[in-house]
Amino acid sequence: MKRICLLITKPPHDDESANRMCGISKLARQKEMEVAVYLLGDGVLCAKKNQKGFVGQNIKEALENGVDIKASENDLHARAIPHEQVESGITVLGDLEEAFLEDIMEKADRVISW
Amino acid sequence: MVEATDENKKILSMMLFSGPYGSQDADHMCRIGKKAIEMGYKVQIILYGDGVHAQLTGQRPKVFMNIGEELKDLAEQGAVIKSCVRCSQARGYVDGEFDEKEDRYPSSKSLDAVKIYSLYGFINMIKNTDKLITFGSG
Repeated sequence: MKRICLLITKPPHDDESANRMCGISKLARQKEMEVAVYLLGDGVLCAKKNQKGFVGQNIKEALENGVDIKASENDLHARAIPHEQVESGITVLGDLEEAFLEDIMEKADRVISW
Repeated sequence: MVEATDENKKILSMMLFSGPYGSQDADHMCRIGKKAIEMGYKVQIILYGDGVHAQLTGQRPKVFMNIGEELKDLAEQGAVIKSCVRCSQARGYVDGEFDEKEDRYPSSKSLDAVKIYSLYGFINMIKNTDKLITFGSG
């Protein structure tokens, strides 16, 4: 099974990256690909719970569709987002960079970054 | 940790399109580059567009990560760092014609750790890479 990784470093609604990430994830899952999303820097704002905009809804759908979403604990803390405010189903990692590199260099077929 | 000889180490390439300190793009690139080297991968960095500003000497941010020092550290640990000559020239970094002996364009404003290079030289870097990630937008 093919695997793709997506790296998001931009906040939702600032530009199209989060929206594209959700769209590509959806299409990849329809093609039965494994999809892993890594949220780094301002990208962790995509992980925030209770977002009413389209990104929040799309993130929930992505999780329901089996997309594996991980967020950087360091970057969440830097933005004063406690674990309780992270959308259920998103994994918070202490060393996201290591997990991301392990994934893209050893497992994933492709990586897309924004 | 990946154990491998230098020849068969996997290669991670990263391109930086935005300048340091305006966003965290350069920070992310340096952190990931450092981690990749720790994990046993080879790292190649291409500075492009406003990303070439990361090569400027004498950076002294008061509170942010010092990108110049980070690039120096990465180069000392084996990372290959090049910046685009057209982008560098447009932004005032290039002092003359290509120096065959030094294998770089001369610059009094760029870190020694960063080689200013023709864009055509990047093709082989990208061709030989296992994975390529980008930071910032052009």
